[in-house]
Amino acid sequence: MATEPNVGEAPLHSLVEVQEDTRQRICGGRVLLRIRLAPDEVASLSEPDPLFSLVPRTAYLPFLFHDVLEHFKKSAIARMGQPYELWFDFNHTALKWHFPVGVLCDALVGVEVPVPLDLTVHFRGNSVMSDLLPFSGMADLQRSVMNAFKQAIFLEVGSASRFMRLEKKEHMMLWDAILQSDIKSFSQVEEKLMCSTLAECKSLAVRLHIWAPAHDGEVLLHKAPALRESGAAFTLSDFLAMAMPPLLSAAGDVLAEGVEVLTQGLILELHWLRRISLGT
Amino acid sequence: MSKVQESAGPVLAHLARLRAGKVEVHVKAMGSAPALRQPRFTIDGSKKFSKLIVYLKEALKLETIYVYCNDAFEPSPDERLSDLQKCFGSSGNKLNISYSGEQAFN
Repeated sequence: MATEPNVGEAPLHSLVEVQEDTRQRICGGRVLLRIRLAPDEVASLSEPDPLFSLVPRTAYLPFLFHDVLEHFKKSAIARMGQPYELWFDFNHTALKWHFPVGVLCDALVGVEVPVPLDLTVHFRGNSVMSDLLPFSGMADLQRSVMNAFKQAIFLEVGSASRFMRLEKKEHMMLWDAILQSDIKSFSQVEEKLMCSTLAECKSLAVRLHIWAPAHDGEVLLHKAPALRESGAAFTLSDFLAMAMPPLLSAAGDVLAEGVEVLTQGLILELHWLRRISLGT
Repeated sequence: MSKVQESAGPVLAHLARLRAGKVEVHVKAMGSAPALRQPRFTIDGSKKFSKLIVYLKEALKLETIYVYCNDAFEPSPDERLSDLQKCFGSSGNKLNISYSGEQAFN
């Protein structure tokens, strides 16, 4: 792909979509979750049955809040009129609600995702977790997701005016598509917002989620050019050399020992070009 | 997106270097929001955007505040100021911030 002479001028979808449903196949993965209520929050005599849920990798954890609440409400310690403050942890790491499930999975679990993946849900204490953003309802999620999307558009196009010019029904279609993990509808609105070729892109928005044992996750927001000066596609290797050289070997041609780079549950090769979309 | 299995030391040191130094913040009030007495100041680039939100809330005595970058979007509170400045800043180390008591730029 990187060696195509006209990579800058080619319509973006032609770079990614080998077959019509390629994007669906790349982004449409699901994760089977087995959710248990935190043991110190169980009020019933026996531990409640876990809740199984097959969630799209593009979904966000608050999408599960309703089902989780219905399933565990009877067993959880009563809140005496206080609102529930739902949050999840994986192996004692609190999970950020404003990143997609697939991103959390790539960063915290890696390529070997157990089936099912065990998460623990807590009904209280969200507000005292310093590494979680406050959450008071789906409007918070919508605001966070849409602003992240606007940021990406701003980097690609140089302004967010395309987003602000969207009609109300297109806004609703976009949010519905995100809620339903409907990649086709999402792409329809996205086409109006993003550049149609790499040559038009001012820069791409990349969020690098960095995970290492015994360390809280770090996230680096960094822009990347879409093309090299020569007109060839900017690769993952180019990006890491620019933004995070310690992830590459001393010679800079392979990943440093112990480093894996994933997206959508797939291990990325250094020469790959990928159109970076919302939240990844 | 990335998974580092061993020795995160060099990676974290590089992150710290990337975010070292101050970010020059230029702040502008929108709508009926009060103006800041000192609309230009510097903050440590390694600090999170939430730090700026809290500072503005306290300085302006506002309970609700919406803080925008480049009159376009609200950065997430957990984003680092240096990352924002490098992606969205204008000449020098400048980051253009505006705020309002109501939601804007939808």
